[in-house]
Amino acid sequence: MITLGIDVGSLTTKSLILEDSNILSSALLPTSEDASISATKATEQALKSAGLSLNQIDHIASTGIGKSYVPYPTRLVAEARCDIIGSRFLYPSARGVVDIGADNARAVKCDPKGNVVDFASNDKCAAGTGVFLDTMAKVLEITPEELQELHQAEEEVSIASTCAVFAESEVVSLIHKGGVNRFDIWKGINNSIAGRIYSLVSKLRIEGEIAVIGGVARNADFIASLGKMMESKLLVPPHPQIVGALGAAIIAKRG
Amino acid sequence: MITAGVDIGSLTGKTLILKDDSILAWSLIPTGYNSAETANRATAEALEKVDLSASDLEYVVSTGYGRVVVPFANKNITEISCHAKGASWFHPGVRTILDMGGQDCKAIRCNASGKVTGFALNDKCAAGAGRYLEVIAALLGMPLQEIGQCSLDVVKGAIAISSTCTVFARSEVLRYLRQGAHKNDVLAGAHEALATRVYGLLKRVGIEKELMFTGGIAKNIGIVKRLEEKTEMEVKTVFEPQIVGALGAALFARESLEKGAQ
Repeated sequence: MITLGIDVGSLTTKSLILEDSNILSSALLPTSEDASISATKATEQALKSAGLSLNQIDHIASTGIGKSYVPYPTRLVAEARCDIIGSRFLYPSARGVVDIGADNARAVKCDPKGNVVDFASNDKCAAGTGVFLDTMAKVLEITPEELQELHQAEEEVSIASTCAVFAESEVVSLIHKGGVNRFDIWKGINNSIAGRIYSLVSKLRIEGEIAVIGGVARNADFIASLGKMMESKLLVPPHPQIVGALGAAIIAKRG
Repeated sequence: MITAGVDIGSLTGKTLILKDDSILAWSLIPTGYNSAETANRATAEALEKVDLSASDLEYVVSTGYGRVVVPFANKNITEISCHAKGASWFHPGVRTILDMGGQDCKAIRCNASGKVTGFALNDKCAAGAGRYLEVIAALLGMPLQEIGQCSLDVVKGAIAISSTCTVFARSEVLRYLRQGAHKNDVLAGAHEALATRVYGLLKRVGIEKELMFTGGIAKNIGIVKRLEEKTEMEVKTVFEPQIVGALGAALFARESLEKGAQ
């Protein structure tokens, strides 16, 4: 059976094709103003790399904030459920998931069978989301290539502001004042967002391993900061952005 | 008796010189990252206006975010106490004060002698401070002085902004503008959202007559009018709402001198 999972996020749209238990292909594109266009394009791209056409797909399931814009006959699935199903496909022992996207963060807890038992989310405040990191990286003029070298940060600078807007000014004045290494500031920023995520996750009292997914999970410095705060072992998949689409594709299979 | 109050805020530095019970002069300058230097410059500017020198100041009280680093202050007092003191000087009937600047927002309750009896504070979130409007004004490319009036001149109807976070509200507003929304209607929505949040802060301390609005945002007619509608009260302001804290500090300085003389 061949299924398709589509995850329409606020910043990126992901399509993933699954045949039984094998991932055939996936595609990731920026979400366009008209989300149905990016859903179509991502799907066409995934179909192309799998060498398939749309009529060979048996079932489709969609998730993400823009799931209702998917222009195909599709089942709509809650994001929390896709997070858990997708993560447990990769890590069957996971008992929780933290999904940090561009403008929201979500922590989900499941029972040993993978049923969602509780979740907490933040979509009200940019602090603790990808937008926060993105804004700060721009202010610091740090490129993704440079991020590779960041592990040599010497001293950690602590960022007092929670609000992304205030933190931006704080970082600007730290730079202007001089005498601080911008990589040290970056470390402070990662600690700040990790602190916000920690308080979101700790509400759920997840016992066991936690998968960290979403675009922010690609940031190794953030993962290191969060790892120091959490007691649970963190599991970070190599492609953390497609886990929601994977979860959707698995759910589509169940019909 | 000549005293001075120096208020070093996060965005502006103010010095006010008081002779007995009259305001002689004041200055208002942007804050640099060196607060001590800002205090020196603001004070020098105020002194120059009335041809006085630093040695003429008999007592100086500092206040505001940078109050502990004012090198020549005899004493420092919190901005909450100074705002209540200054507000009561302008309007003796004041019992509730809303002080709103770029970085924070305070709701203060005081008694008939200008003494603080309670307060609530937001300094964590830009969406409840002047910064929210600064971000929206910058997006629209409009000067801050004009946005308040424009927010009252609604064209098709206020556009409600559903995001709270300033960062998200900015993206939301951008989307409305792309869809052809009029600037004024977007501003009406933004002012309404901010006024609602500030009204919530006021309710936490309890609103009692008279209500006075101080700080930079008190110059924004769009927020003043909406607060009047929500509280069903007249909102009192002064000719220069940003000097109320510095005035309070100068009044405390005068009190210290009077106590010393006794």
